[in-house]
Amino acid sequence: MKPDIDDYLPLAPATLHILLSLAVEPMHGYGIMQEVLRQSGGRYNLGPGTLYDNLQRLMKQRMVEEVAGPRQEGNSRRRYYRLSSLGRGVLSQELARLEDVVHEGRMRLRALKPGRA
Amino acid sequence: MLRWLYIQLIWLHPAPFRWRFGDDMLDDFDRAPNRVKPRYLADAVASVARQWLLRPEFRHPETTAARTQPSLETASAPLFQTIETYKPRPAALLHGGLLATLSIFTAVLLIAKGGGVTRPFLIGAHYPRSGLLPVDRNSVPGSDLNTTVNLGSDPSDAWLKLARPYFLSMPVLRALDTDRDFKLSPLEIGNAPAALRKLDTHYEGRVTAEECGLPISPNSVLAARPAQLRRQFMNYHPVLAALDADYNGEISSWEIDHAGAALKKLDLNHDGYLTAGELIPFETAVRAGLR
Repeated sequence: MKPDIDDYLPLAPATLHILLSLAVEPMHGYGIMQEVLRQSGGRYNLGPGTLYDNLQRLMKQRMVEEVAGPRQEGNSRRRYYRLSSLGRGVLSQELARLEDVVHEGRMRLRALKPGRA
Repeated sequence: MLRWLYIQLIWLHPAPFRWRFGDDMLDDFDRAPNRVKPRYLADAVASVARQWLLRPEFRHPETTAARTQPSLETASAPLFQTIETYKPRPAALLHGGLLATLSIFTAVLLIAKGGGVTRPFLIGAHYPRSGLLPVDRNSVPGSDLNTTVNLGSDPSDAWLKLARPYFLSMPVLRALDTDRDFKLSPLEIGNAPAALRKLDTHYEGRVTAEECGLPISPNSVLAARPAQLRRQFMNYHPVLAALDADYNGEISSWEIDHAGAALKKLDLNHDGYLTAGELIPFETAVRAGLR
């Protein structure tokens, strides 16, 4: 049975950042942490324990899957992860949901501004 | 130190998580700058708690291992996979442990009970068995054993326990008991004059009570009456009383010469030996509960 994407929404911040990091290309754990740091402008520093706990859960939910690393990668100990089609779909739905939230929020804030009233 | 702590924290994670992500976690820790490492430690502590408290579904290896195999269609590098990911269940491990414990217990019990099992190849036994290497004495010349073995005094003998400190505290007995068996043999009694003369440190031809072990402190009230004290001391100890025949508080030259005969008077059982029971003062033996 195909899982319902809405069951996974909304995503926790750490999950969202991890899925976003993997949206472009497969990455290893340390690369994901660096990417999350970059995405959040240095505000969200993901620790290894939190990262792999999330990856474990995401792999169980089949949103992320492990892939072989690139040939030029010298460190064979590292594991690479990528988004699955399910993960990509969940991420798309979450971003759409967030866009709605942002849109709704902006409308309400705009309505609250005194000059526009 | 931080790295060691981090490794210990990784080891505290549930085994499936540790097998799966332990190497990566340590690699990430090694790559991280030093200022971040304390925060990684805190993160690992939280991760341990989270794994044990909130992730019970991940504690079975097959649930993660079966799902996390690298997808072959994207793997450009050669992959090596095991056919089977079987690991024994905890219940099977428990049963195995119990069976091993029971087996060891049974083996120990059999050994402790002497076996109760036929041991046909055992060489040597503490009881005669007809089936075990029968002893043939044909080569031994027929002669009766006539070796006499003299056993020493029983160490558990209460008299011996009392005699040891007494002999050591008495210079006269120390000099007489040359073989340190805490009894005086006929030979030692016969050599008594020579032994006593060694105690005459002042070369006066006599052995005084002080040379026999009487401690007189100059500050003692008894020091005012030394003659009486000496007589009391010599009279208290049977061996000194026997040697001091004239009860003057010292062993004179004549008494030294006749020490052998004087000591023989102490041999109450006439066995030729002076034992602790014949040498230790009556009061001392009473206090020790031996009389």
